[in-house]
Formats: sequence, C-alpha cells, structure tokens
Amino acid sequence: MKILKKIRKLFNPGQKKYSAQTNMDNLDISQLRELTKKEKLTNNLETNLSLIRKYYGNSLGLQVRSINIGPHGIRAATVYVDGMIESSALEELNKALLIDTVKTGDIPKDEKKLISFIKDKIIISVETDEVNQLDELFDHVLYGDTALIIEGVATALLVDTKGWKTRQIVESDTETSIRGPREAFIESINDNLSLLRRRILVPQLWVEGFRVGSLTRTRVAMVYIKGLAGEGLLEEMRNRIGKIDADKIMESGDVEGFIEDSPFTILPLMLRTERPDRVEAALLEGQVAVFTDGTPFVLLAPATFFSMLQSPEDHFEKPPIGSFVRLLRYGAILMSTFLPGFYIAIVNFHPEMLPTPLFVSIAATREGVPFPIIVELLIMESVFEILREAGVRLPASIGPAMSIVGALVLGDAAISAGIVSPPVVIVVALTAIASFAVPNFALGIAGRIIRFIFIALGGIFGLFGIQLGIFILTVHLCSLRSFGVPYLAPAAPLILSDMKDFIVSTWVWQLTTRPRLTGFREPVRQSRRQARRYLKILPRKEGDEQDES
Amino acid sequence: MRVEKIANRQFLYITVIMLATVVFSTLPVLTTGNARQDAWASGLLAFAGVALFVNVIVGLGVHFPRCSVVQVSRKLLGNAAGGLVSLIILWSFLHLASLEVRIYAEMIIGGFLTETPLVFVVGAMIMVAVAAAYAGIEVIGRLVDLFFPLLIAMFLVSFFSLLFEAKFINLQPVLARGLGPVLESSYNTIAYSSYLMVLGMLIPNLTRPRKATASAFWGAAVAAFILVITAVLTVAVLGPEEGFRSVFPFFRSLRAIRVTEFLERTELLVIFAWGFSLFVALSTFIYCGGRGVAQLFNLKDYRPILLPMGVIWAALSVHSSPDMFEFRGLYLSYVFGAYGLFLVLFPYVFLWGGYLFRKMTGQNPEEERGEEKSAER
Repeated sequence: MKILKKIRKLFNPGQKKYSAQTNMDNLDISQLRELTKKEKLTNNLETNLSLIRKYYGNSLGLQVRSINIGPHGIRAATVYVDGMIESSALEELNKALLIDTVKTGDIPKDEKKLISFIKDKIIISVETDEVNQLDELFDHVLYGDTALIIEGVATALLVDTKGWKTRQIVESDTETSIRGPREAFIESINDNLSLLRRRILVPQLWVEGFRVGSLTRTRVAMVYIKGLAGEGLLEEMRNRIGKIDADKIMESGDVEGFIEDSPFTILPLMLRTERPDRVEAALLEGQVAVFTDGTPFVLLAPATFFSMLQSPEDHFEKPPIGSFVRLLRYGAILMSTFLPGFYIAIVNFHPEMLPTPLFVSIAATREGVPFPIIVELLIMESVFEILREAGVRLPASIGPAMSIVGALVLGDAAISAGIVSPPVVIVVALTAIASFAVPNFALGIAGRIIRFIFIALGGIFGLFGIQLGIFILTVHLCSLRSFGVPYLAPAAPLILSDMKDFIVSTWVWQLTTRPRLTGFREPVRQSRRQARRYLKILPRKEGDEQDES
Repeated sequence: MRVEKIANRQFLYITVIMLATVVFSTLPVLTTGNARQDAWASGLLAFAGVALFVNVIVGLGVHFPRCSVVQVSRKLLGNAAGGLVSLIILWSFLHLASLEVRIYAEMIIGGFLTETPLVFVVGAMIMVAVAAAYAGIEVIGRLVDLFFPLLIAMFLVSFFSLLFEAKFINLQPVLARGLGPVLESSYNTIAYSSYLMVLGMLIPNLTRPRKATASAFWGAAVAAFILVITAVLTVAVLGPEEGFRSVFPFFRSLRAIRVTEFLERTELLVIFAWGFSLFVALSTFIYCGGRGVAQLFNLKDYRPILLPMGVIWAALSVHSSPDMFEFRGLYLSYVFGAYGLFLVLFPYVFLWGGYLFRKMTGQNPEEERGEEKSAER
C-alpha cells in the first residue's frame, strides 16, 4: 500500500486539497482569495458571522452589532468597518431597524418577504443591494457599506453608509489657469464624478464602473457621452480595462500602463488632467475619460500630440491672445527639445553659419573653459535636471536656500571660475524655462529626455546628426497611435476641417465642427448661422433652418 | 493583412517630393545640355515629357486598382516574363535610390563633414529610411503631410532671398539659339520620370486609386513649377555660364546671397529641405522595393527583407563609383537620359503591349469596377 501511495504522489505531486476548515496560517493570499470567492452565505446567522470573522481574522475595525428586529425579535446583525462609514447614516439605519420595525407591527415572518419589506419600507438609505456571495459582501462592506444579515435568510442586505474624510476641493498645483474654473479633482472618485456631473447635465453622460486589481479592488470608471463617443472606441476601452490583470492599481498611471497602445515610447499616449473643465471639453469632442479612485488624475483618450499642447482656457481669452499663447507653447516645446542640440552642432561643426561677430563673442567666452562643449552642455543640463528633481522634493522652507545655491553657486560661480561658458548657461536656462511652458508635464519631461539624445547627435555628427534625429523622431511620432487615432492628427494625416483650432485658436462661434477622428458621430457641434451673423458675408440659405432644429 | 491606405493628397505630395529632389541636386535643365539661360523653357518642355510618362506609368496602374506594378506585370505577361520585367523596375528603385543618396552624401561631405567617411553618411540616411519603410506606407504618408508644408515654406523663403540678388538681364537673349539646345537640356530631366515608377507600386494603397492619374499629374505640375522658378532664379543670380558649370546650382546660388548681417547662409534651409525630400524619396523607394521583392517572391511580409536590402543599397551607393567626378559622368545627358528612359520605357512597352494585346484578344485584363467599389466602402 505504501508503494501505491508513493506512485499516486508521483503522478499528482503538487495538488494540495484544502477546504474551508484548513488553518488560515498555511494559506497564501491567492488561495485565500480563491476561497473567499467560493464561500456563500447560509441561512444561519451565527455561521455567517463566523464566516466573516474567519476571513477578516482578528484584525481591528470590523464591527458586528447584534440586533433584534420587529416585535417578534428576529435576530439579525449589522456588519460594517470602522472609519469607513458615516456615523449618522449608521445611526439612522439602527434607529430604523430597532424602532421603526417595532412600531409598524405587521412585520412578515417569511424570510424572503422580510428582506424585501425591510428594503422597501424600513430603510431610509438611498442605495440598497442584496448579495449572497461572501466576496461581494466584502467588496461592499470594506468600501463603507453596512451589511444587514438576518437569521434564516441566506442573503445579506447592503446599505450605503459610506462616509470618510476627503481632501478639500482646491485649485490644482500642476494645472493652474489664469481664467477659467479653479476647482480640481481630488482623491475620491465619487467627488470627482460629481464635479464632472455638475458640468454636463444630460442623462447621456454615462459612467461604467469597474473593479480593478485583485488585491486593491480599486474602483475605475469609464465616462463618456453616449451617442457621441464612437462605439468602437468604447468597446476597445472596455476590453482593455477588463483585461487588466494586476494585484494593485494605485494611481491612474497603473491603469495607463495597462491600456495604452504602445508602451515602448516615452511620449504620453493618454492625456492626464486634474481639471474637470478639461475632461468636460474632451468628452464633448467624443473622447473617453477614465477615472481612478484614489488619485486626482483623470485619463483622457484618445489623445494627440497637439491636444497636449492645448488647454481649454485658450478659448476663454480672445482668439488672438489664445493663438499667441498657443504659438508660444509650440515654440517652447521645439526650443526645449532642439535648442541645445542646435547650439552644439553649430558652434562645434558649422561656426560659419553664425554671423561673424556673434561667433567671435561666443568663441571669446569659451576661452579658458577646460571641457569640450558637449561635456559642458551635458554637465549643465544634468545639473539643471538634478535641481529640478530636488526642487520637487524639497520642503517649502528650504526653497529659497535652494534657489540661492542654484543661481549663485552653480551659475555665477561656475562661470567666474571658468568651468562653463556663459552661452551654455543661457542655453540651458532657456531650454529649462521653455520646457516648463509646455502645459503637459509628461510631454515636457519627454521633450527634456529627447533633448539629451539631440545633444549627443549634434555633438557627434553636427547638423547632419540633428537631421537624422529629427527623421527618426518624426517616424516614431507618425507611427504612434492612441486608441486608433494617429498621434500627430490633425497635422499628419492632414485634416483640414480640424485645422482651424489647431495651430491658432479661433472664435468660439467658428468652432462649428468636432474633431473628425473622435467626434465623427455628430460632426456639427453648433449652428453655422451664428458665424454668418458675425461675418455678414455668407448668404443665408434655405436649408439652414433645418440645420438648427 | 490589412492593406495600408494613403490619401490621394499624400500620393500627390510624394510625387512632388520625388521630383523636387532633382531641383535640389543637379538641376539638370541647367547643368546638362546646352540651354543655358533658356533652362526655364527646358523645364516647361520637361514637364510635358514627365506628364506623358505619368500617363504611361500611372495610366496603366489605374486599370488595376488593387495590384501593384509587380502583380500587374505577372498578370499581363505571365509569371516568368512578368517577373523579369518587374525585376527591371525593382532594379530601377535600387539603383536610382542609391544614386540619389550618393549625391546627397557627396554634398554633405564636400560642404560640411569633410572628415566623415562616405559610408557613414550613406548608411545613416538609408537606415533612417529603412526605419520609415518598416513603419509602413501610412507612416510615410503622414511624414509627407508633415514635411510638405515645411518644404514649400523653405522653397518660398529661398526664392524670396534669391530675389535680392537676381539680375534678370541674365535671362536674355530668350531662345536665341532656337529650340535645339532647349530640347537637349530637357531630355535628361524627362529621364527623371523613371523615379515615378514607384507610383505604380503605390496605387493599390490609395484610397481612391481611380483618381491616381490626376493626383500624379498635379504633383508633376507643382514640381515643374518649382523647377521652372528655380531655373529662372538660379540663372538670374549666377548667370548662365557659372550656373552651367556648378555642381549644385541651386545651392551655389543661395550661397551667393547675403542680404543683411542676419539673412545670410540661407542655403542651410535648402540642405534641410533636400534632406527632408531625400528622406521621403528614399523611404518610398525602399518601401516600394521591399514590397515589390516580397510580391515577386511571394513573401508574406516585406519587413524582414528591408534591412538586408538596405545594406545592399548602401553598398551599391558607395561602390557605384569611386569619386564625385566619375559619378557626375553618370549624369551626362547621353548617359543618364538614355538610362532613365530605358528604365521606364522597356518595362512599360511590354506592359502596355500585354495590356493592349489582351484587350484586343478579348480577355478583359481589367479588374471589375463594381467589385472594387464595394471594397472601397
């Protein structure tokens, strides 16, 4: 017999059979999760409570309060987690269960009827739900709901008693605006959704919820305007979010990493924002927003390169001002990416391209500098990046000291010691400032990293190297797509109807169409007649009356 | 595999850019033949010739909106003969592209990177173009969309700055020696229509392949317009004799410009514009070459053969001639003119012959129109 057992062991060595009776200490997390999913609630109150206790263990926070419902004193218990509930809501619930059920008197004895009676006539709370699976019960209870478990009923009633401290809704630090709404998203997904819902008051603003992350069970919501966002895009987004298999989703960056099109690019393929007005503008153009619980950053897709350089407030100012600002931004990103590369290429390889006096003055300042120009540039660029990174982490009280060190010690002293030349400092400062003028942080930092590649190319091959770099960069940019939309649209491929809101911004009454690649389902966003009223040159046609209706 | 699609607009841009490289490099209406100050007239004549060849090349292609020229030739001439004819076309892609990149590399090395080995410049350009071809024709189409406005802007700026130094007296006497020298000069430029054989490869990728002739024709017209203006301005700035003798006349004329302290050395613009257009032309050549070879040998995907082909391209480009002087010999009109015309005429005489033969013998060679329309939707 022993031999037989051994042979059997040989054929299925790894299979351990575990049952609910197994000691919890020996089970790993995935086994525990599997077990939780299998468990079902039973008719017996005591068994149910011990089941919950078993999986929650001895850890603090889980509160079980036994109560008797109704004049006949049906035994029941409420289960909730301390700190996740609003105590007034819980008090209301308890009052309803303990007092109101007694008052009504005619409480049904049948279990099925009892639970619907409580649900329909007793509980005041807005949201109630019934579950009979243990993991569903935990999903809700751990997110602030209170479960009502009644003796003799295999279903738990979940009552919405959520309530916890959230941050105040304040202005965003990273996306400030001169004109336009100031409020920004916070870490709570419900508050964020309410911020958005306040702005789009039609029932077609649809929110689809997901629970992502096998351990964090983070709430992720996909928000769109039904009938405006393309169904193909929605299906794709639903699929990609549904396929996420991760144990944790801590931030929208985790979601982005799982659902973006090509991970091997340093350019952001989804737009992140903290501002509700930005999300609103994107939704109205047929895009989809992805909200993640626990972070103020909302993802917008599909995003294009040029949309990262735009801001809804471009339209809040007069068009010439908005256009000017936008052109400045385009200039800024070009400058922050290419300026050091061009500088080193021209000074190193093609000095004849500079006007002679300018070149002479540059050469004069470089006299006595011990490093070749590429080393000088790389040192200063790295120093700047270190300063920037340190500045992000610094406590506010040390900030001034930091700027003194940065400006005086590194800038002034390095020049007077003859370690770097002033033109290099100017170039580095210019690129630094320009890179902060890019409204999207991710794009700005991508530009800064690409800049180092261009410094190397310019320093080794001169303008020819820069040209090669531009070719490779353009091929890369042109081959990127964000949820099916080419990254460089509407410039490449050229879409003329989208051009009027592309390089320059234009009057708001002229923006009569949505971007063609995302808002194709309803291309006309407002009547063209208003534009005619202002321009007074286009004749009014018969068909226009129908257009508006 | 999904057929990649480019818009007819992008097709037009590609046509312009393929031909525009001619303007940047040797400006053959001026440097070959004997037209001298009448180079602009040769440009107009060349346009007529190129337009004819557009009709020959693209005109055959539009009858087969879902087949590239390699597939068409096998359809019309049978597998063996069709394969041989398409080999000539594929050879033309290989050779013309390698010549094109060689001229550019010679200019870069002669003017800027004097110490750099030739193979580096050639290899770098070809590798970049291979990367673009690897990404596919849609990406090349988007590249063209992006570069074309820049190219036009660069042309405008350089024309504008050339106007400062232009002495239009140089253009006189007009047609003093009759049409003979003008014809002679246009001959070489017409041979550049062999570049347009790539269009035959691109027709199945178009969104509206039936309109391809019009797109290619307008592309050629824009290129001819640029060519004529460049010829006029270059002659006006340099004078007919110096223009005739210089290697890169357009480049040379811009070098002569010095409007103010700040607006000097505008030839930098031309070098970048030339680089852009060469890049686009090269990637189109390599894409079409790779696709063509893949179709000829029934490969599933053209991408894996791009890199080895790129190496062949670079080797051919470097070793085709030992130095610039011998290389220029290739561009004499009795060499390149005859060669280029042969490259177009030889395959297309057979192809049109096969087409007409089939048409006359009643075996309808064309694809069904209705079928294609339903596919377009």
